[in-house]
Amino acid sequence: MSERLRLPVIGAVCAALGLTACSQPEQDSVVNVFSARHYASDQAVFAAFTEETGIEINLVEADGDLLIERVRADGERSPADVIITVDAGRLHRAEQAGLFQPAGNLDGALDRVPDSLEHPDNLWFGFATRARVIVYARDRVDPSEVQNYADLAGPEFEGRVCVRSSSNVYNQSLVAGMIAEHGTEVAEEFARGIAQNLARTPQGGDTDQIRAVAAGECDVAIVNHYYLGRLLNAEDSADRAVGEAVGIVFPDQGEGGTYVNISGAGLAANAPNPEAARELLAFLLSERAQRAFAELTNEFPADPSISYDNTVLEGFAGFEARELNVNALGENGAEAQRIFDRAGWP
Amino acid sequence: MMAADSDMPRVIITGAEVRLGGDDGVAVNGASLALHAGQVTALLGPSGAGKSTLLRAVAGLERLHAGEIRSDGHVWSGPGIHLAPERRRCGVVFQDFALFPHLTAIQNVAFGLRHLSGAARRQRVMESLAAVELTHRARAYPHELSGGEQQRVALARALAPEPAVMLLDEPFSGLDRRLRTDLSAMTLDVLRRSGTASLIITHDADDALASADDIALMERGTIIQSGRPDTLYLAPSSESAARMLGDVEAFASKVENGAAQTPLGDVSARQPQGSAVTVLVRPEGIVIGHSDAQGLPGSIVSRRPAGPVVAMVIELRTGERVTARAPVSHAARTGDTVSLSLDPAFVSVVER
Amino acid sequence: MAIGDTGILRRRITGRAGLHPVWLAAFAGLLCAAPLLAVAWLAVSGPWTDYLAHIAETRLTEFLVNTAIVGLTAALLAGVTGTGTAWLVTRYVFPGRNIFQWMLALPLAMPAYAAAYGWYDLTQGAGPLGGLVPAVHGAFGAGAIFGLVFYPYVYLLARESFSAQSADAYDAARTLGCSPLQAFARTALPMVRPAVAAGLALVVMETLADFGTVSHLGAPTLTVALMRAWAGEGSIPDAARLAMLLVSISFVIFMAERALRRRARQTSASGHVRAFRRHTLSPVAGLATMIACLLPVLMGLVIPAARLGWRAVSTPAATGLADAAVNSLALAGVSGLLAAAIGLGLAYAIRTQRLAGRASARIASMGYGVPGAVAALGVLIIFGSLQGGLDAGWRSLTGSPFPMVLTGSALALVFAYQARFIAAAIGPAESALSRVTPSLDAAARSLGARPLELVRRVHWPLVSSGVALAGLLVFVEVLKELPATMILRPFNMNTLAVTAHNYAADERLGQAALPAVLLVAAALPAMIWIARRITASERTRDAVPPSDAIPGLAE
Repeated sequence: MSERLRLPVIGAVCAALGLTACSQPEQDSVVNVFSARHYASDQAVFAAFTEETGIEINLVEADGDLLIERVRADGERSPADVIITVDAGRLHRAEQAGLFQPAGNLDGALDRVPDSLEHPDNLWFGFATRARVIVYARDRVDPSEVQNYADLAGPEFEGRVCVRSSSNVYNQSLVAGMIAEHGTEVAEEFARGIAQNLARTPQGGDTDQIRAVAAGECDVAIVNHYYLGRLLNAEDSADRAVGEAVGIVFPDQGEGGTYVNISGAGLAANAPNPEAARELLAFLLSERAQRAFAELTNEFPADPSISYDNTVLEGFAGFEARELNVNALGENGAEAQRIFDRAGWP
Repeated sequence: MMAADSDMPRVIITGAEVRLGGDDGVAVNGASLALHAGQVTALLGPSGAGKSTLLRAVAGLERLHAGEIRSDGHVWSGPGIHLAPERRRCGVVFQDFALFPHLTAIQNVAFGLRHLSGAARRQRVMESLAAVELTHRARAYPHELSGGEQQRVALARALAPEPAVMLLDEPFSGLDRRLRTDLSAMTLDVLRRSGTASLIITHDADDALASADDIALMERGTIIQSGRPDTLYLAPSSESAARMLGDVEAFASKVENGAAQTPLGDVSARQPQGSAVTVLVRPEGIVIGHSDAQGLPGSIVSRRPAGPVVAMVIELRTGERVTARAPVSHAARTGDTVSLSLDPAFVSVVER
Repeated sequence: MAIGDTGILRRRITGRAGLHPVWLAAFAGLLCAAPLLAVAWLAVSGPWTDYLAHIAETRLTEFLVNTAIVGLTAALLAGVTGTGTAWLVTRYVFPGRNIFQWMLALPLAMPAYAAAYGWYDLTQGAGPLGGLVPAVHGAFGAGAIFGLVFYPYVYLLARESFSAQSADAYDAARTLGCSPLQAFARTALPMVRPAVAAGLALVVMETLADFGTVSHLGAPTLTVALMRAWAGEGSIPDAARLAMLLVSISFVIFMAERALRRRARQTSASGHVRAFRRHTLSPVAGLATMIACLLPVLMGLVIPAARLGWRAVSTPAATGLADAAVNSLALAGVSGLLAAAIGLGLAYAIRTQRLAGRASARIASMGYGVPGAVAALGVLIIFGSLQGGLDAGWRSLTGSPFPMVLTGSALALVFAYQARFIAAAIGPAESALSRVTPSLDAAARSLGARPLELVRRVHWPLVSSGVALAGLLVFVEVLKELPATMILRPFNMNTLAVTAHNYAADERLGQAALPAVLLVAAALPAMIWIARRITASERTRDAVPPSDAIPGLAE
C-alpha cells in the first residue's frame, strides 16, 4: 500500500474500532484473569487485591477445557495474564499446550507452598486444596470399615456405594493418583470394584451423593470434602441435618495419605501484564486470600501455616495428605478415564 | 340406492333455523325443503342468503336451533337431536373441494370406505374414479391435479360411500366457464345415475334452469319458493323470486275488476279487488310486432344482441321503457317503431 | 414452497445491478457455517488416536442406546404435548385460552439443565418427592426433561399450522364417516405433520447437543462420549469426529422425514381457506382442557423453578444480576433481530432454487446439532486464524499487530450465536416467505406499487409474523446459551445463563434459582408480543401457513 494511503487507512480503522483499541493500554495497571472457578471467595479476593494494589482485574470465567482452547486459539495475542483452574488435570493440559511461563518464586510466597502442590518446573502452583474423602452413614456404617479407598471396592459394600459419574474430573484425578502411586492394575481393580458396588447409576453432583447417603439410598460415598463442609455450614437446618447424618473419613491415613487435588494458577506464556500478574499470583498465597478460600469455600489453604475462622474446616484439618505431586493427576487423567470405560463405571 | 318409495322425499327440511355466533354470516331462518332420490335440486340465491349454512346443517356440520331435518323417517336434526355428521350418509363436495393434500386421488376417494374390505374398497374406488373419468390420474396428489380434476376427485370421493344425500357447495365456482359447462353436465349425469338425492348450490340461474330437476330459491335465510324449473320461471311467487331466475319487467299495479293495469295493457288477476300487486313479465312475454300490428306502440331505443336472442329496449309513449327479447333474426332496428303485446304465458301477478 | 419466481425475485431486488441476492445470502450462510466447517476440518486433519477404537470396544453401545432412548423419549413427549396443546388452543374456547396461547411457549426459556437440577433435587431419594414418584434420572428421565422444556418448539409450529388449516378438510372427513377424534387423527394430524416434524427436528437436535442435563441425570449419550474425548482424553480431533457423527445423525433424521413426505403437500391445494370456528367447551370439559394446558407449563417451568427458588430462600442472593439481565437481553435482542434478517435472506436464497443458496442455508443449519462447546471451539478456531491474518496485514502497515477485536468482544458473541442458532430462524422465515406468491407481486405492481412499496405493503405484512417468530426462537436460544457466551464474552461481562450455570455447576442450586427465573422473565415480554402478533394475524387470515419446511433443510 502506498505511503499516501497508509495513514488514512490506519486512522479510519482506528476510528471504526474506537480509539482505545489502537492505543496500547497502560502497562500493568490491569491484570487479565481467565478462571475456571466461580466462587464468592474469588470475588472477595479479587476485590481485596484491587484495594491493596490499585490494579484492576479483568475477569473471564469459563469451563477449564474451553479456557485452554481460547488461550491456545488466541496464541501470542492472548490477553490472558493469569490462568486459574480447579483441577490439576487442566493445569497439566494447559502446560502441555505451552500456555504457561515460569512465574519465579513470587517474592518467597511459593516457599510456603508444599512442593507436591507445585509444577516441577514452576509453571503453576496450587493455592488451595480439596481432598477426595469418604462419607458414610453414621447409623449404618462403622467408620473402621471405610478407612481406605480400597475398602469401598470390596464385596461387603456391594450395592452400597454412591459416587458421581466417571466423566467428572474429580473421579478421574482420584484414579489418576492411584495409577501414579500403585500402577494401572491396582487402579483398575479399584474402579472395577466401585463399579460393581454402585447402589445406583451415577447421577447428580457430590452434594447429591451426600444427600443419598443421608436418605439411606446408599451407605457410603466418595466426595470432595468441601461439599460436606458447605452442608455443615449451611443456614438451612435441613441441609445441616444432612451433613450431620454422615461421617467423614480421610482415607489411606498411614498408607500414603488422602488424595488431594488443587485449585491452581499460573502465569500465561504471552501475558501482556506479567508484573501485575505476578503480584496477583503472590496475592493468592497471601494470608488474606488464603483465609478467604478457607472461610468462604471450605477449601484447605495451600499454605499450611494459615489460621482461619471455620470450625467445620478446622475439624477436617490435620489429616495426612498424599505427597504425590499433583502433576501426576494430569499426566494419568486420560488413562484413568479409559480404566473407567473398561471397568464399567459409567 | 333408490329409496323403496321414490315418491317419498329422501330428505325433508322443515322450518330449519341456524344461528351462527360472531361474524360467520347470515343464518338460516325457517327454511323448508324436500329433496327427492334420483333428483338434483339446485339451491339458488344471492350471497349471504344462508345457502351454505343450510347445506352444512343438512350435513350435520351446523346444529339446528329450531325446525327439523329428517331422512327416510329418521330425525337427523331436531329438538335436542343432532346426529353426528359421520352417521348421516351425506356426501359433500366443498367449494374448495377440501381434498386432503397429503393423500393421493385414490387415497382421497378411499378415505370414506374404511368399512369395506381391501378388495371391495379398491373396486369401489376405481369405479368411482372411472365414473368421473379419472382413473389415469389415480396416483396423483391434489396439487398435481388441475382444478377440474380436483373437482372430479372431490365428487368421486363424496359418491364412493354411496351416500343417501349429495350436497355440493358451488362445485364449479372456481373453474372457467367452458370447463364448468362440461363438468356440470358430467356431474349431474353422475349424480342422477347414482340415484341419490342431490342438493347443489349454484350461482348460475341458466345452468340451474337447464339442468336441475328442482330448484329452490333462498333469500334471507328462508326458501322463498321451490319447485320445477319451468314452474318457477313462469310462475314466480314474488318479484325477487322472479329476478333470481332471469330478467323480468315488474309493474306496480292494483287489482280492479279481476284485472291489473300495466303500461302494456291489462292482465287478468285472481287477487281480491283493490289489492296491491306487482305484475311480472318475462322479456319473452313482450311480443314485438310490426308497427301496424295490433298492440301498444313504442320505439326501439337500443338493440343488444346476446347470442341467439336480441334484447331490445323499447320506449313507450308514456315514456316508460321495457326490455323485450326477440330472435336475433328479428328485423326491427334502433329507431324503428313497433307495436307491443303481452303473451299471458309469461305474465304473472303477485301480491306486493 | 412456491417456486418458479426466481426471475421476479431477482429483478425486484437487484434491478440492473447484476449481483444476485442469493450470493449475499450464501455469503451470510457460509459465515454461519464457518465454525462448523472448522470443526469438520479438525476432524479430518487432526491426528488420530486409538480413543475411538477404545470407545467402540467399551461403551459405544451404551452411548448409542442412551442417545436413542433420550432422543425418542424427548420426541414422543414433545410431539404429543406440543401437538395436543396446539390443537386445544386453536380449536376450543376454554377459560384462560388467550393466556395459554403464549404461556405454553414459556418452558422454552427454561434452560434444560436448570429444569433437570430442579426435578432431580425434588425426586431423588432425599428430595421431598423421593420415593413418592420415580426419580427423574437416567435416559428416560433426561428424555422427559427435554420433552418438557422443548415441547414449545412443536407447540409453536403446530399451532401456526393448525390455525392455517381449512376447516373444510376436517368437515369433509366428518361427512365421510369419521368421528371427531378420527377426523383429527386422519386429516388435521397428517396435515400438521411437517410442522410437527420441523419442531421435533429442533427438539432432537437440541437433545443430541446437550451435555449438562444428561451428565447430571446419569444418561451418558454420544455428547458425553464427545466431552470425554475432549476433557478426559484431551483429544479434540476425536471430539470433532464424534461431533460430525452427531451432525450426521441429525442429517439422516431430516432426510428420512423428507423421504417419507415425498410429493405430498400439506397445504390446501386450492387457495381457499375456511376458518374454523372455535368450539366453546362445557364447563367441565373446559376445566379439563385448562388443566391439560396447565400441566406442561407446570412441569416444564413452574415446578422445577419453584424447587430451585425454594432452595434460594435459605441462601444469599447472587450479586450483579441486574447487569447480567441487561447483558442477556441486549445480546439476545441484537442476535434475534440479526438472525431474523439472515434467516429471511437465507429463506429467499433457498427459494431461488440455486444450489449455492440452498447449500449454504443447509450447512449453516447444521451448527444447531452440535454441542455448544464444540460450536464455541469452532468459533475460537475461526477467530484465531482471522486474527492471525489481520495481524499480518496490519503489521505491514503499522509494524504492530492488529487490535484484538474478534475474540472476547460482543461482536464475536453475536457471530457465534448466528452460527449456532440460524437453523431456528430459517424454518419460520421460509414458511412465512412461502405465502408471497408471484401473483401477489404481479397484482401489487399492476396496482401501481413501486418495488419498495411492494416490500412494505405486501411482503412485510405477509412475512412479518413468521420473521418475528424466527427472531423470538433465536432470542430465547441466546438467552440460554452457555459455552460460547462463557468463552467469547468480553471481560467482566456476565449473563443470566452464565450466572445460573456457575452456581448450578457448583451445586449451589439456591443461588442458581434467581438467575434461572429471571431468564424466563426476560423472555416473557417477547413471548407475549409474538403470541399477540400471531393471534392478530390469524384474525386477518394471514396466519403463517404450516411450515412446509424443516428449518433450513427444505428443498
